[in-house]
Amino acid sequence: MPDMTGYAFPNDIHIGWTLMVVLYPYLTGLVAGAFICSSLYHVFGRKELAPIARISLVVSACFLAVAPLPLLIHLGHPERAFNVLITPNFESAMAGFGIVFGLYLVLVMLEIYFVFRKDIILRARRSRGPLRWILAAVALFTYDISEEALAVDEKIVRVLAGVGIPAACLLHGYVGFIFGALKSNPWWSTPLMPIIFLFSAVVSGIALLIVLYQIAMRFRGTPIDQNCLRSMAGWLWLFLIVTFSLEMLEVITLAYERSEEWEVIGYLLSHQLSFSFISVQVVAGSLIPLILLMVVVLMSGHMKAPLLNMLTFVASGLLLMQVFSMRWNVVIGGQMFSKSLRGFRLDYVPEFFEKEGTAVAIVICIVPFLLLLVADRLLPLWSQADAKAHQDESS
Amino acid sequence: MGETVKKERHTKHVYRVLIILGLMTIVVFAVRYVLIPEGWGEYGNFRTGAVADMLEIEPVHGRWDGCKKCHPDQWEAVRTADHATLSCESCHEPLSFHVENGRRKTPMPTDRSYKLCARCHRRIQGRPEGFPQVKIDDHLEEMGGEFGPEVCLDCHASHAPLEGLR
Ligand code: HEC
Ligand code: HEC
Ligand code: HEC
Ligand code: HEC
Repeated sequence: MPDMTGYAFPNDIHIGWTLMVVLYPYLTGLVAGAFICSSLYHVFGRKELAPIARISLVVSACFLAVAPLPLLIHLGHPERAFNVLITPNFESAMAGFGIVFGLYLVLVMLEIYFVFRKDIILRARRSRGPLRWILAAVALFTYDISEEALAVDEKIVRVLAGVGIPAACLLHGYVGFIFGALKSNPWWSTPLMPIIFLFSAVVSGIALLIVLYQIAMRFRGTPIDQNCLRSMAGWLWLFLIVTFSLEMLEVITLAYERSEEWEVIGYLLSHQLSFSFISVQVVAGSLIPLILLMVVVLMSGHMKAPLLNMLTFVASGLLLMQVFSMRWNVVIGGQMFSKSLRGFRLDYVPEFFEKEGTAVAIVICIVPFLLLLVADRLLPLWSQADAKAHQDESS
Repeated sequence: MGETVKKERHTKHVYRVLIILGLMTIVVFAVRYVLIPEGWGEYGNFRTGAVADMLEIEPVHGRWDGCKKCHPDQWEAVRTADHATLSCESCHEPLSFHVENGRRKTPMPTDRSYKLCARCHRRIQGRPEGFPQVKIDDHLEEMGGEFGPEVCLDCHASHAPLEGLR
């Protein structure tokens, strides 16, 4: 049974928003981050990112597919989820979720469709039997892969990716808004919250792609495209600097103001959250990757590729953890103190086997990777040659 | 495919996608139209029939004295002791889990763990001053109890906690 200290109310004992609510912003963050990473290629013309341009979209879609799961598990009664789409009450910010999610899903699917249309058609031509029919239907029964048609696709992808950036920001900024707009909770209620969520989302998205890219290349025995990886490391570094500065600025502002909230938040950060905030989020999760990536970006000329790859890989792994711990510190941390601002709950450890426990969380995190494996069998997500061809067409 | 003579626009597939999107939009709105329950929105974001539906639901809990008829002894014990103000169902499960049509349906589970007592008696400063509360560790030390999952019942009887001190 959790222990309370200080002046707490009996209903402050319960952590209502559990591990599942930590997981949800983490997953949508990966969705938005991976998408924005793909837009760097499609919209901003970072040609060196070609090798991950396709996979990043598919990663985004795979995580998008599981993103609602934690919420459905948390709330129970999944069959009622559609009510929020059918009869939304817009006085609640949460009513927007279904619509934002739905529109974003359509957008990502469309973009994937236009990016992979050629491969779908080639595959349809090669297939026999029912698969051929299914693929033909997916290709909408026109096998037009002439230069001109592909150029049209390219243009559409650019537009979709362009529209997708604000959409991704909306999807994830909205998650931050849900927390930032809760004025009863001083640890959440700040207009910075959506922005912090957004930037750390991009960090986690790029970090995931770096990890995936390196692992996949190792398994496929393909050499890692150093230009691509260096560029991703650069972007990761940039977004990490912004994220970390924002996160620290928020805490420093609170600390410097020394308003009454700081009484609880300061205590929280130095006691209940000392491990997950100071050790994990700040030191291991931000400072160390900051240095590692700085080395990679600034001193790449002096080091061998394998070492640089390893440093980037380690930094990305740490950053994936950093973003998770940031979500944890926000969501759980915000429920560790009493609404009286004078009392605390001493700790919170989710059980392994419970409805919203660790086991379920692990399963949810594995599912997108299984989806990725399936997608990998269906479409050429990686192939260098393919990405090259893709690149040549667009230039 | 590439050697078409006539100048083609090569946007056939795009139009097909647009048509599908259009159809999807229509379907979404049609489904929404069909699914909006009757009476919704008459008085704001609310379904008028909801109240009538609620009235149809069988209550899960019994009445305040719903257990008295069959358990007069326990009733007597609880009502004359410190827990007199409590409903039986605040510690036991709701009546309908246990009784159906005036007969016992399933055994009533009893929670003998210390967590049951702690729910109301653990010291939390936000509780009213006069309410009996203990800091569990200190209380056990003071009374000479050894912590275990059902420790409170070693000394206290659940129905008459002080009267039935063991
Ligand atoms: C403070 C919580 C609490 C309240 C209030 C309470 N009970 Fe119990 N009851 C218990 C616990 C705990 C046990 C298990 C006791 C044991 O095993 O020693 C129990 C056991 C019982 C039993 C099993 C037989 C027995 O006496 O051990 C019956 C029957 C019973 N309760 C009926 C009632 C009825 C009827 C009421 C309402 C008048 C009631 N209880 C109110 C906690 C409570
Ligand atoms: C229709 C009669 C009836 C009503 C009403 C009733 N019980 Fe029982 N209850 C029984 C019978 C019969 C038994 C089993 C015989 C026994 O142990 O006395 C029983 C047993 C129990 C037991 C012991 C565990 C078990 O199921 O064998 C508990 C605890 C209990 N009842 C609690 C309650 C509480 C609390 C209520 C009110 C919410 C309640 N009962 C209402 C008939 C009833
Ligand atoms: C649903 C809440 C609730 C639960 C559960 C509960 N109690 Fe109580 N308890 C009360 C209330 C209310 C009183 C009466 C307080 C008063 O007289 O002001 C009380 C009174 C007492 C008293 C008498 C205190 C005094 O100084 O008069 C003791 C001892 C006690 N409970 C022990 C227990 C034990 C042991 C358990 C677990 C089996 C338990 N209680 C479970 C609500 C609860
Ligand atoms: C070793 C025996 C023993 C155990 C075990 C025990 N108690 Fe007590 N408890 C007592 C005695 C004796 C009193 C009466 C003290 C008095 O009147 O000053 C008491 C009094 C209380 C009171 C009333 C305090 C007050 O200030 O009015 C509460 C509440 C209480 N106990 C709850 C619990 C709970 C909850 C547990 C289980 C965690 C528990 N007790 C376990 C012996 C015990």
